[in-house]
Amino acid sequence: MLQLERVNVHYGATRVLWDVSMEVGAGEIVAIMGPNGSGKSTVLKAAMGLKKPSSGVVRLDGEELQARSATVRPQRGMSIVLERRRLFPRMSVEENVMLGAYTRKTAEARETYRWVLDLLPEIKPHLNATAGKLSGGQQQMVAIARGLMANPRVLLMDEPFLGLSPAMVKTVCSIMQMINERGVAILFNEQNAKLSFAMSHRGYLLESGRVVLSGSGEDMLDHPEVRRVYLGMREEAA
Amino acid sequence: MLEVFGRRPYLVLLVMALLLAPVPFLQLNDYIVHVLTLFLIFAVFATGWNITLGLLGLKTLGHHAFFAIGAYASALVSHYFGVSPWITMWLGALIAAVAGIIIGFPILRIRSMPHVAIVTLAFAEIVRLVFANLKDITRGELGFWGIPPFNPIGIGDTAIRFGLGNAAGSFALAAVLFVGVHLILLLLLRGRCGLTFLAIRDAEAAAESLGVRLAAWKLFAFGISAAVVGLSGAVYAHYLMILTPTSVAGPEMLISLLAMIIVGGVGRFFGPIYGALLLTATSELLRDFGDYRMLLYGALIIVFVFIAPAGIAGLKPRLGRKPAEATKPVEAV
Repeated sequence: MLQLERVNVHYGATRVLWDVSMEVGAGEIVAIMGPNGSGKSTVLKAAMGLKKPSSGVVRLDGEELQARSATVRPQRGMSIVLERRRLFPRMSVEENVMLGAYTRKTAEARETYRWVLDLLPEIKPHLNATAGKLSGGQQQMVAIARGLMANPRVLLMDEPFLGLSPAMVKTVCSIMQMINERGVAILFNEQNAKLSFAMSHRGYLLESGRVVLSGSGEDMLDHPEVRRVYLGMREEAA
Repeated sequence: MLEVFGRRPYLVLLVMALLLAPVPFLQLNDYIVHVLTLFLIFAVFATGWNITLGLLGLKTLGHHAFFAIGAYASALVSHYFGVSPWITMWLGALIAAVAGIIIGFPILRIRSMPHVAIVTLAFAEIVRLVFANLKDITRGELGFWGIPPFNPIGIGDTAIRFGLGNAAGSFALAAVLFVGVHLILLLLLRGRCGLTFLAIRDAEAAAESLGVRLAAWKLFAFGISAAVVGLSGAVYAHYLMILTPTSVAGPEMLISLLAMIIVGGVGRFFGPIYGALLLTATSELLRDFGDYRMLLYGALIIVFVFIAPAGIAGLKPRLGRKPAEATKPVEAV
Protein backbone atom coordinates (compact mmCIF):
# COMPACT_ATOMS: atom_id res chain seq x y z
CA MET A 1 0.00 0.00 0.00
CA LEU A 2 2.47 2.68 1.22
CA GLN A 3 6.09 2.13 0.32
CA LEU A 4 9.21 4.15 0.93
CA GLU A 5 12.18 3.04 -1.12
CA ARG A 6 15.72 4.23 -0.39
CA VAL A 7 14.45 7.59 0.80
CA ASN A 8 17.08 10.19 1.66
CA VAL A 9 16.28 13.49 3.29
CA HIS A 10 18.53 16.48 3.93
CA TYR A 11 17.96 19.52 6.12
CA GLY A 12 20.31 21.95 4.41
CA ALA A 13 23.65 20.20 4.22
CA THR A 14 22.78 17.73 6.96
CA ARG A 15 21.58 14.33 5.87
CA VAL A 16 18.97 13.00 8.27
CA LEU A 17 17.62 9.92 6.48
CA TRP A 18 19.90 7.40 4.82
CA ASP A 19 18.29 5.08 2.24
CA VAL A 20 15.25 4.42 4.38
CA SER A 21 12.95 1.76 3.00
CA MET A 22 9.65 0.88 4.70
CA GLU A 23 6.32 -0.61 3.82
CA VAL A 24 2.83 -0.43 5.25
CA GLY A 25 0.40 -3.06 4.03
CA ALA A 26 -3.38 -2.64 3.88
CA GLY A 27 -4.92 -2.86 7.33
CA GLU A 28 -1.59 -2.97 9.16
CA ILE A 29 -0.36 -1.08 12.19
CA VAL A 30 3.32 -0.33 11.69
CA ALA A 31 5.52 1.30 14.29
CA ILE A 32 8.71 3.27 13.79
CA MET A 33 10.73 3.22 16.98
CA GLY A 34 13.94 5.00 17.73
CA PRO A 35 15.67 7.44 20.03
CA ASN A 36 15.38 11.23 19.84
CA GLY A 37 16.84 12.62 16.64
CA SER A 38 16.82 9.29 14.83
CA GLY A 39 14.63 10.67 12.03
CA LYS A 40 11.28 9.10 12.95
CA SER A 41 9.27 12.27 12.37
CA THR A 42 11.18 13.00 9.18
CA VAL A 43 10.12 9.62 7.77
CA LEU A 44 6.47 10.54 8.32
CA LYS A 45 6.97 14.05 6.92
CA ALA A 46 8.66 12.62 3.83
CA ALA A 47 5.83 10.12 3.37
CA MET A 48 3.24 12.88 3.75
CA GLY A 49 5.07 15.32 1.47
CA LEU A 50 5.75 17.87 4.21
CA LYS A 51 9.47 17.33 3.64
CA LYS A 52 10.61 16.63 0.12
CA PRO A 53 13.06 13.72 -0.11
CA SER A 54 16.34 14.52 -1.83
CA SER A 55 16.13 11.08 -3.44
CA GLY A 56 14.12 7.90 -3.19
CA VAL A 57 10.57 6.89 -3.93
CA VAL A 58 7.35 7.34 -1.92
CA ARG A 59 4.63 5.19 -3.41
CA LEU A 60 0.97 4.87 -2.47
CA ASP A 61 -0.92 2.07 -4.20
CA GLY A 62 1.65 2.10 -6.97
CA GLU A 63 1.53 5.85 -7.58
CA GLU A 64 4.79 7.71 -7.04
CA LEU A 65 4.21 10.73 -4.83
CA GLN A 66 7.69 11.90 -3.80
CA ALA A 67 7.63 14.87 -6.18
CA ARG A 68 4.05 15.85 -5.30
CA SER A 69 3.17 18.31 -2.54
CA ALA A 70 1.42 17.31 0.67
CA THR A 71 -1.86 18.74 -0.60
CA VAL A 72 -2.52 15.78 -2.94
CA ARG A 73 -2.13 13.12 -0.21
CA PRO A 74 -5.57 13.47 1.43
CA GLN A 75 -7.26 12.94 -1.95
CA ARG A 76 -5.15 9.81 -2.45
CA GLY A 77 -6.21 8.38 0.93
CA MET A 78 -3.40 9.45 3.25
CA SER A 79 -3.57 11.82 6.19
CA ILE A 80 -1.43 12.67 9.19
CA VAL A 81 -1.86 13.47 12.87
CA LEU A 82 1.06 15.77 13.49
CA GLU A 83 3.37 15.81 16.49
CA ARG A 84 1.94 17.88 19.36
CA ARG A 85 -1.42 17.76 17.58
CA ARG A 86 -0.95 21.07 15.71
CA LEU A 87 -4.61 21.93 16.11
CA PHE A 88 -5.94 25.32 15.09
CA PRO A 89 -6.12 26.50 18.68
CA ARG A 90 -8.45 29.47 18.24
CA MET A 91 -11.04 27.59 16.21
CA SER A 92 -13.78 25.45 17.67
CA VAL A 93 -13.40 21.68 17.89
CA GLU A 94 -16.03 21.26 15.17
CA GLU A 95 -14.18 23.63 12.83
CA ASN A 96 -10.94 21.76 13.48
CA VAL A 97 -12.54 18.41 12.73
CA MET A 98 -14.39 19.61 9.63
CA LEU A 99 -11.19 21.11 8.21
CA GLY A 100 -9.91 17.54 8.07
CA ALA A 101 -12.25 17.06 5.12
CA TYR A 102 -10.85 20.11 3.34
CA THR A 103 -10.53 18.42 -0.03
CA ARG A 104 -13.79 16.50 0.13
CA LYS A 105 -17.35 17.29 -0.90
CA THR A 106 -19.60 18.56 1.88
CA ALA A 107 -22.05 15.64 1.72
CA GLU A 108 -19.26 13.06 1.97
CA ALA A 109 -17.64 15.05 4.75
CA ARG A 110 -20.89 15.13 6.76
CA GLU A 111 -21.18 11.36 6.47
CA THR A 112 -17.60 10.84 7.66
CA TYR A 113 -18.18 13.40 10.43
CA ARG A 114 -20.98 11.24 11.85
CA TRP A 115 -18.75 8.17 11.62
CA VAL A 116 -15.90 9.98 13.37
CA LEU A 117 -18.17 11.20 16.18
CA ASP A 118 -19.45 7.66 16.67
CA LEU A 119 -15.88 6.44 16.87
CA LEU A 120 -14.77 9.25 19.21
CA PRO A 121 -17.85 10.12 21.26
CA GLU A 122 -15.61 11.81 23.87
CA ILE A 123 -15.28 14.92 21.69
CA LYS A 124 -19.04 15.35 21.18
CA PRO A 125 -19.60 17.49 24.31
CA HIS A 126 -16.75 19.81 23.27
CA LEU A 127 -17.67 20.52 19.66
CA ASN A 128 -18.27 24.21 20.32
CA ALA A 129 -15.31 24.61 22.67
CA THR A 130 -12.16 26.39 21.57
CA ALA A 131 -9.69 23.66 20.62
CA GLY A 132 -6.70 25.32 22.30
CA LYS A 133 -8.45 25.23 25.68
CA LEU A 134 -8.89 21.45 25.79
CA SER A 135 -6.62 19.13 27.75
CA GLY A 136 -3.77 17.40 25.93
CA GLY A 137 -5.69 14.13 25.70
CA GLN A 138 -8.80 15.80 24.36
CA GLN A 139 -6.70 17.68 21.83
CA GLN A 140 -5.17 14.40 20.68
CA MET A 141 -8.65 12.99 20.07
CA VAL A 142 -9.57 16.08 18.07
CA ALA A 143 -6.36 15.70 16.07
CA ILE A 144 -7.18 12.04 15.38
CA ALA A 145 -10.74 13.00 14.41
CA ARG A 146 -9.36 15.63 12.04
CA GLY A 147 -7.01 13.08 10.52
CA LEU A 148 -9.87 10.64 9.98
CA MET A 149 -12.05 13.21 8.22
CA ALA A 150 -10.03 12.73 5.04
CA ASN A 151 -11.36 9.15 5.11
CA PRO A 152 -7.81 7.83 4.83
CA ARG A 153 -6.76 4.31 3.97
CA VAL A 154 -3.48 4.98 5.71
CA LEU A 155 -3.16 7.26 8.71
CA LEU A 156 0.24 8.58 9.77
CA MET A 157 0.62 9.49 13.44
CA ASP A 158 3.63 11.44 14.64
CA GLU A 159 4.32 10.70 18.32
CA PRO A 160 0.64 10.14 19.19
CA PHE A 161 1.39 9.54 22.88
CA LEU A 162 3.65 12.53 23.43
CA GLY A 163 2.78 14.43 26.60
CA LEU A 164 -0.19 12.22 27.51
CA SER A 165 -0.91 10.70 30.89
CA PRO A 166 -0.60 6.88 31.15
CA ALA A 167 -4.38 6.57 31.25
CA MET A 168 -4.74 8.67 28.14
CA VAL A 169 -2.03 6.66 26.39
CA LYS A 170 -4.19 3.58 26.95
CA THR A 171 -7.19 5.42 25.54
CA VAL A 172 -5.35 6.53 22.44
CA CYS A 173 -3.98 2.99 21.96
CA SER A 174 -7.45 1.52 21.98
CA ILE A 175 -8.70 4.23 19.61
CA MET A 176 -5.87 3.38 17.21
CA GLN A 177 -6.86 -0.26 17.36
CA MET A 178 -10.51 0.61 16.72
CA ILE A 179 -9.51 2.71 13.71
CA ASN A 180 -7.38 -0.15 12.44
CA GLU A 181 -10.21 -2.65 12.89
CA ARG A 182 -12.22 -0.51 10.50
CA GLY A 183 -9.64 -1.10 7.79
CA VAL A 184 -7.38 1.93 8.17
CA ALA A 185 -3.66 1.19 8.08
CA ILE A 186 -1.60 3.13 10.62
CA LEU A 187 2.05 4.14 10.49
CA PHE A 188 3.15 5.78 13.71
CA ASN A 189 6.36 6.60 15.53
CA GLU A 190 7.11 6.34 19.19
CA GLN A 191 10.12 6.23 21.51
CA ASN A 192 8.69 3.60 23.85
CA ALA A 193 9.70 0.24 22.39
CA LYS A 194 7.34 -1.89 24.46
CA LEU A 195 4.33 0.26 23.72
CA SER A 196 5.00 0.68 20.02
CA PHE A 197 5.89 -2.91 19.11
CA ALA A 198 3.29 -4.51 21.39
CA MET A 199 0.42 -2.87 19.52
CA SER A 200 1.80 -3.13 15.99
CA HIS A 201 1.80 -5.83 13.34
CA ARG A 202 5.24 -4.82 12.20
CA GLY A 203 7.92 -2.44 13.32
CA TYR A 204 11.08 -0.66 12.27
CA LEU A 205 13.94 0.43 14.48
CA LEU A 206 15.55 3.63 13.31
CA GLU A 207 18.94 4.87 14.50
CA SER A 208 20.74 7.94 13.18
CA GLY A 209 18.49 8.07 10.15
CA ARG A 210 18.99 4.42 9.16
CA VAL A 211 16.69 1.43 9.50
CA VAL A 212 18.73 -0.96 11.63
CA LEU A 213 16.07 -3.57 12.37
CA SER A 214 12.66 -4.55 11.11
CA GLY A 215 10.22 -7.37 11.69
CA SER A 216 6.90 -8.30 13.21
CA GLY A 217 5.93 -6.56 16.43
CA GLU A 218 6.56 -9.74 18.45
CA ASP A 219 9.93 -10.36 16.80
CA MET A 220 10.99 -6.80 17.48
CA LEU A 221 10.07 -7.12 21.16
CA ASP A 222 12.00 -10.38 21.41
CA HIS A 223 15.07 -9.13 19.60
CA PRO A 224 18.08 -9.14 21.98
CA GLU A 225 19.26 -5.70 20.83
CA VAL A 226 15.85 -4.16 21.42
CA ARG A 227 15.55 -5.85 24.80
CA ARG A 228 19.02 -4.76 25.86
CA VAL A 229 19.06 -1.18 24.58
CA TYR A 230 15.43 -0.13 24.58
CA LEU A 231 13.80 -2.30 27.24
CA GLY A 232 16.73 -2.29 29.66
CA MET A 233 16.75 -6.09 30.01
CA ARG A 234 19.87 -8.20 30.32
CA GLU A 235 19.98 -11.42 28.32
CA GLU A 236 20.13 -13.70 31.36
CA ALA A 237 17.15 -11.95 32.88
CA ALA A 238 15.29 -12.40 29.63
CA MET B 1 -14.05 31.89 13.85
CA LEU B 2 -16.03 33.04 16.87
CA GLU B 3 -12.96 34.86 18.16
CA VAL B 4 -12.53 36.67 14.84
CA PHE B 5 -16.14 37.59 14.05
CA GLY B 6 -17.99 37.41 17.36
CA ARG B 7 -21.43 35.84 17.64
CA ARG B 8 -23.51 38.06 15.35
CA PRO B 9 -21.25 39.88 12.92
CA TYR B 10 -24.02 40.74 10.47
CA LEU B 11 -26.03 42.30 13.27
CA VAL B 12 -23.01 44.34 14.38
CA LEU B 13 -22.52 45.56 10.81
CA LEU B 14 -26.24 46.37 10.52
CA VAL B 15 -26.07 48.42 13.73
CA MET B 16 -23.05 50.27 12.37
CA ALA B 17 -24.88 50.95 9.10
CA LEU B 18 -27.92 52.23 11.00
CA LEU B 19 -25.72 54.52 13.08
CA LEU B 20 -24.06 55.90 9.95
CA ALA B 21 -27.22 56.31 7.87
CA PRO B 22 -28.64 59.46 9.51
CA VAL B 23 -25.31 61.34 9.73
CA PRO B 24 -25.58 63.14 6.34
CA PHE B 25 -29.03 64.42 7.34
CA LEU B 26 -28.10 65.67 10.81
CA GLN B 27 -26.70 69.02 9.67
CA LEU B 28 -23.54 68.37 11.67
CA ASN B 29 -20.55 70.66 11.55
CA ASP B 30 -18.64 69.99 8.30
CA TYR B 31 -15.42 69.42 10.19
CA ILE B 32 -16.98 66.62 12.26
CA VAL B 33 -18.40 65.02 9.12
CA HIS B 34 -14.96 65.33 7.51
CA VAL B 35 -13.35 63.51 10.46
CA LEU B 36 -16.02 60.79 10.29
CA THR B 37 -15.41 60.42 6.54
CA LEU B 38 -11.69 59.95 7.14
CA PHE B 39 -12.52 57.41 9.86
CA LEU B 40 -14.60 55.37 7.41
CA ILE B 41 -11.91 55.43 4.72
CA PHE B 42 -9.19 54.48 7.21
CA ALA B 43 -11.41 51.76 8.69
CA VAL B 44 -11.64 50.14 5.25
CA PHE B 45 -7.88 50.54 4.85
CA ALA B 46 -7.21 48.95 8.25
CA THR B 47 -9.66 46.10 7.61
CA GLY B 48 -7.95 45.35 4.31
CA TRP B 49 -4.53 45.29 5.97
CA ASN B 50 -5.89 43.11 8.77
CA ILE B 51 -6.53 40.31 6.25
CA THR B 52 -2.82 39.59 5.84
CA LEU B 53 -1.65 40.90 9.19
CA GLY B 54 -4.33 39.46 11.46
CA LEU B 55 -6.09 36.67 9.63
CA LEU B 56 -3.22 35.23 7.64
CA GLY B 57 -0.67 36.06 10.34
CA LEU B 58 1.96 37.58 8.02
CA LYS B 59 3.70 40.54 9.59
CA THR B 60 3.45 42.78 6.56
CA LEU B 61 4.38 46.41 7.14
CA GLY B 62 3.98 47.84 3.65
CA HIS B 63 0.27 48.13 3.00
CA HIS B 64 0.44 51.92 2.88
CA ALA B 65 2.14 51.28 -0.48
CA PHE B 66 -1.07 49.70 -1.80
CA PHE B 67 -3.03 52.67 -0.44
CA ALA B 68 -0.70 54.98 -2.38
CA ILE B 69 -0.87 52.82 -5.50
CA GLY B 70 -4.68 52.79 -5.45
CA ALA B 71 -4.81 56.52 -4.75
CA TYR B 72 -2.30 57.58 -7.40
CA ALA B 73 -3.50 55.12 -10.06
CA SER B 74 -7.07 56.33 -9.78
CA ALA B 75 -6.08 60.00 -9.50
CA LEU B 76 -3.62 59.95 -12.40
CA VAL B 77 -5.92 58.12 -14.82
CA SER B 78 -8.92 60.28 -14.01
CA HIS B 79 -6.82 63.47 -14.20
CA TYR B 80 -4.83 62.80 -17.37
CA PHE B 81 -7.34 60.72 -19.34
CA GLY B 82 -10.57 62.25 -18.14
CA VAL B 83 -11.97 58.90 -17.01
CA SER B 84 -14.69 59.09 -14.37
CA PRO B 85 -13.44 58.38 -10.81
CA TRP B 86 -16.37 55.97 -10.53
CA ILE B 87 -14.42 53.80 -12.96
CA THR B 88 -10.85 54.64 -11.98
CA MET B 89 -11.45 53.72 -8.32
CA TRP B 90 -11.87 50.09 -9.44
CA LEU B 91 -8.81 50.41 -11.62
CA GLY B 92 -6.88 51.64 -8.55
CA ALA B 93 -8.07 48.62 -6.59
CA LEU B 94 -7.13 46.27 -9.42
CA ILE B 95 -3.63 47.73 -9.84
CA ALA B 96 -3.10 47.55 -6.06
CA ALA B 97 -4.23 43.89 -6.14
CA VAL B 98 -1.75 43.08 -8.90
CA ALA B 99 0.99 44.85 -6.91
CA GLY B 100 -0.07 42.82 -3.84
CA ILE B 101 0.23 39.54 -5.72
CA ILE B 102 3.61 40.57 -7.15
CA ILE B 103 5.03 41.40 -3.70
CA GLY B 104 3.39 38.22 -2.41
CA PHE B 105 5.63 36.00 -4.55
CA PRO B 106 8.95 36.76 -2.80
CA ILE B 107 7.19 36.70 0.57
CA LEU B 108 6.13 33.10 -0.05
CA ARG B 109 9.78 32.13 0.13
CA ILE B 110 10.49 33.96 3.38
CA ARG B 111 9.89 32.00 6.58
CA SER B 112 11.14 34.59 9.06
CA MET B 113 8.53 37.15 10.08
CA PRO B 114 11.05 39.97 10.74
CA HIS B 115 12.26 39.52 7.17
CA VAL B 116 8.69 39.67 5.85
CA ALA B 117 8.30 42.94 7.76
CA ILE B 118 11.52 44.37 6.33
CA VAL B 119 10.76 43.33 2.74
CA THR B 120 7.27 44.85 2.81
CA LEU B 121 8.53 47.99 4.53
CA ALA B 122 11.21 48.36 1.86
CA PHE B 123 8.59 47.84 -0.84
CA ALA B 124 6.53 50.70 0.58
CA GLU B 125 9.55 52.95 0.67
CA ILE B 126 10.33 52.11 -2.96
CA VAL B 127 6.75 52.99 -3.92
CA ARG B 128 6.98 56.29 -2.03
CA LEU B 129 10.28 57.18 -3.72
CA VAL B 130 8.93 56.28 -7.16
CA PHE B 131 5.92 58.57 -6.73
CA ALA B 132 8.16 61.28 -5.26
CA ASN B 133 10.57 61.14 -8.19
CA LEU B 134 8.09 60.88 -11.04
CA LYS B 135 7.75 64.64 -10.77
CA ASP B 136 6.63 65.15 -14.36
CA ILE B 137 3.60 63.01 -13.69
CA THR B 138 2.91 63.23 -9.94
CA ARG B 139 4.59 66.60 -9.14
CA GLY B 140 6.43 64.74 -6.36
CA GLU B 141 6.27 66.17 -2.87
CA LEU B 142 4.86 69.44 -4.21
CA GLY B 143 1.61 67.53 -4.30
CA PHE B 144 -0.60 66.21 -7.07
CA TRP B 145 -3.53 68.58 -6.98
CA GLY B 146 -6.49 68.98 -9.24
CA ILE B 147 -7.69 65.42 -8.74
CA PRO B 148 -11.32 65.38 -9.87
CA PRO B 149 -13.92 64.48 -7.25
CA PHE B 150 -16.46 61.77 -7.92
CA ASN B 151 -19.04 62.93 -10.47
CA PRO B 152 -22.29 64.10 -8.88
CA ILE B 153 -25.22 61.73 -8.70
CA GLY B 154 -28.70 63.04 -9.33
CA ILE B 155 -31.60 61.73 -7.28
CA GLY B 156 -34.76 63.43 -8.48
CA ASP B 157 -34.06 67.15 -8.46
CA THR B 158 -31.22 66.80 -5.98
CA ALA B 159 -27.61 66.40 -7.05
CA ILE B 160 -25.36 64.71 -4.52
CA ARG B 161 -21.88 66.17 -4.83
CA PHE B 162 -18.65 64.67 -3.59
CA GLY B 163 -15.13 65.74 -2.72
CA LEU B 164 -13.75 68.03 -0.05
CA GLY B 165 -16.24 70.81 0.60
CA ASN B 166 -19.21 68.49 0.05
CA ALA B 167 -19.19 66.89 3.44
CA ALA B 168 -22.55 65.10 3.42
CA GLY B 169 -22.12 63.53 -0.03
CA SER B 170 -18.55 62.46 0.69
CA PHE B 171 -19.59 60.94 3.99
CA ALA B 172 -22.42 59.02 2.31
CA LEU B 173 -20.01 57.66 -0.29
CA ALA B 174 -17.48 56.63 2.38
CA ALA B 175 -20.28 55.01 4.40
CA VAL B 176 -21.44 52.97 1.39
CA LEU B 177 -17.84 51.94 0.77
CA PHE B 178 -17.42 51.01 4.44
CA VAL B 179 -20.60 48.94 4.71
CA GLY B 180 -20.21 47.39 1.26
CA VAL B 181 -16.59 46.32 1.74
CA HIS B 182 -17.24 44.91 5.20
CA LEU B 183 -20.34 43.05 4.02
CA ILE B 184 -18.49 41.47 1.10
CA LEU B 185 -15.55 40.56 3.33
CA LEU B 186 -17.91 39.03 5.89
CA LEU B 187 -19.53 36.90 3.20
CA LEU B 188 -16.10 35.86 1.95
CA LEU B 189 -14.28 35.33 5.22
CA ARG B 190 -16.99 33.67 7.30
CA GLY B 191 -16.79 30.56 5.14
CA ARG B 192 -14.09 28.31 3.78
CA CYS B 193 -11.86 31.23 2.79
CA GLY B 194 -11.63 32.63 6.33
CA LEU B 195 -11.12 29.17 7.83
CA THR B 196 -8.30 28.58 5.38
CA PHE B 197 -6.58 31.86 6.28
CA LEU B 198 -6.85 31.08 10.00
CA ALA B 199 -5.61 27.53 9.46
CA ILE B 200 -2.53 28.86 7.65
CA ARG B 201 -1.98 31.40 10.42
CA ASP B 202 -2.30 28.97 13.31
CA ALA B 203 -0.63 25.82 11.98
CA GLU B 204 0.77 26.07 8.48
CA ALA B 205 2.10 22.50 8.30
CA ALA B 206 -1.22 21.12 9.51
CA ALA B 207 -3.09 23.20 6.95
CA GLU B 208 -0.82 21.93 4.17
CA SER B 209 -1.30 18.34 5.28
CA LEU B 210 -5.07 18.80 5.03
CA GLY B 211 -4.79 19.82 1.40
CA VAL B 212 -4.54 23.62 1.67
CA ARG B 213 -2.51 25.03 -1.22
CA LEU B 214 -0.45 27.48 0.80
CA ALA B 215 1.06 29.51 -2.03
CA ALA B 216 -2.21 30.03 -3.88
CA TRP B 217 -4.13 31.04 -0.75
CA LYS B 218 -1.42 33.42 0.42
CA LEU B 219 -1.32 35.14 -2.95
CA PHE B 220 -5.11 35.32 -2.95
CA ALA B 221 -5.02 36.92 0.52
CA PHE B 222 -2.43 39.44 -0.65
CA GLY B 223 -4.51 40.26 -3.70
CA ILE B 224 -7.77 40.75 -1.77
CA SER B 225 -6.06 42.68 1.00
CA ALA B 226 -4.24 45.00 -1.42
CA ALA B 227 -7.41 45.50 -3.49
CA VAL B 228 -9.39 46.64 -0.44
CA VAL B 229 -6.59 48.95 0.68
CA GLY B 230 -6.16 50.28 -2.87
CA LEU B 231 -9.88 50.95 -3.13
CA SER B 232 -9.80 52.96 0.09
CA GLY B 233 -6.80 54.86 -1.30
CA ALA B 234 -8.70 55.72 -4.48
CA VAL B 235 -11.68 57.06 -2.53
CA TYR B 236 -9.29 59.02 -0.31
CA ALA B 237 -7.65 60.60 -3.38
CA HIS B 238 -10.93 61.75 -4.94
CA TYR B 239 -12.16 62.97 -1.58
CA LEU B 240 -9.16 65.12 -0.58
CA MET B 241 -8.31 65.92 -4.23
CA ILE B 242 -4.63 66.27 -3.46
CA LEU B 243 -1.93 63.66 -2.82
CA THR B 244 1.70 63.75 -1.77
CA PRO B 245 3.86 60.60 -1.69
CA THR B 246 4.70 61.11 1.97
CA SER B 247 1.10 61.71 3.04
CA VAL B 248 -0.08 58.39 1.60
CA ALA B 249 3.03 56.18 1.66
CA GLY B 250 5.10 57.78 4.39
CA PRO B 251 5.98 56.51 7.85
CA GLU B 252 3.19 58.50 9.52
CA MET B 253 0.59 56.60 7.52
CA LEU B 254 2.27 53.31 8.41
CA ILE B 255 2.33 54.09 12.14
CA SER B 256 -1.20 55.49 12.20
CA LEU B 257 -2.75 52.51 10.46
CA LEU B 258 -0.72 49.96 12.35
CA ALA B 259 -1.82 51.65 15.57
CA MET B 260 -5.46 51.45 14.48
CA ILE B 261 -5.18 47.70 13.87
CA ILE B 262 -3.24 46.93 17.05
CA VAL B 263 -5.37 49.15 19.29
CA GLY B 264 -8.58 47.86 17.70
CA GLY B 265 -7.54 44.20 17.74
CA VAL B 266 -5.27 42.37 15.32
CA GLY B 267 -7.07 39.42 13.76
CA ARG B 268 -10.53 40.55 14.93
CA PHE B 269 -12.83 41.43 12.07
CA PHE B 270 -14.26 44.55 13.71
CA GLY B 271 -11.10 45.47 15.64
CA PRO B 272 -9.61 47.80 13.00
CA ILE B 273 -12.91 49.70 12.84
CA TYR B 274 -12.83 50.46 16.57
CA GLY B 275 -9.15 51.38 16.32
CA ALA B 276 -9.78 53.65 13.32
CA LEU B 277 -12.62 55.42 15.12
CA LEU B 278 -10.61 55.98 18.30
CA LEU B 279 -7.39 57.05 16.64
CA THR B 280 -8.87 59.16 13.82
CA ALA B 281 -10.84 61.10 16.41
CA THR B 282 -7.86 61.33 18.76
CA SER B 283 -5.58 62.40 15.94
CA GLU B 284 -7.91 65.23 14.98
CA LEU B 285 -8.36 66.32 18.58
CA LEU B 286 -4.59 66.47 19.00
CA ARG B 287 -3.92 68.22 15.70
CA ASP B 288 -2.71 71.34 17.56
CA PHE B 289 0.19 69.31 18.94
CA GLY B 290 1.53 68.70 15.44
CA ASP B 291 4.06 65.91 15.13
CA TYR B 292 3.96 65.28 18.88
CA ARG B 293 0.68 63.44 18.43
CA MET B 294 2.72 60.56 17.06
CA LEU B 295 4.06 60.19 20.60
CA LEU B 296 0.53 59.44 21.72
CA TYR B 297 0.17 56.87 18.96
CA GLY B 298 3.36 55.20 20.09
CA ALA B 299 2.27 55.27 23.72
CA LEU B 300 -1.15 53.79 22.84
CA ILE B 301 0.45 50.93 20.94
CA ILE B 302 2.74 50.14 23.88
CA VAL B 303 -0.14 50.29 26.37
CA PHE B 304 -2.36 48.01 24.27
CA VAL B 305 0.39 45.51 23.53
CA PHE B 306 1.05 45.10 27.26
CA ILE B 307 -2.39 45.53 28.81
CA ALA B 308 -4.78 44.42 26.08
CA PRO B 309 -2.96 42.52 23.35
CA ALA B 310 -6.29 41.54 21.82
CA GLY B 311 -7.19 45.24 21.43
CA ILE B 312 -10.54 46.94 21.94
CA ALA B 313 -12.40 44.12 20.18
CA GLY B 314 -10.82 41.64 22.55
CA LEU B 315 -11.94 43.57 25.62
CA LYS B 316 -15.65 43.35 24.90
CA PRO B 317 -16.37 39.69 25.55
CA ARG B 318 -14.33 39.73 28.75
CA LEU B 319 -16.49 42.42 30.32
CA GLY B 320 -19.73 40.45 30.27
CA ARG B 321 -18.50 36.89 30.23
CA LYS B 322 -19.01 34.43 33.02
CA PRO B 323 -15.89 32.57 34.13
CA ALA B 324 -15.39 29.66 31.76
CA GLU B 325 -16.24 26.24 33.10
CA ALA B 326 -13.32 23.92 33.33
CA THR B 327 -13.50 21.32 30.57
CA LYS B 328 -14.13 17.91 32.00
CA PRO B 329 -11.26 15.56 31.21
CA VAL B 330 -12.07 12.59 29.04
CA GLU B 331 -12.48 9.34 30.96
CA ALA B 332 -9.72 6.86 30.42
CA VAL B 333 -10.75 3.54 28.89
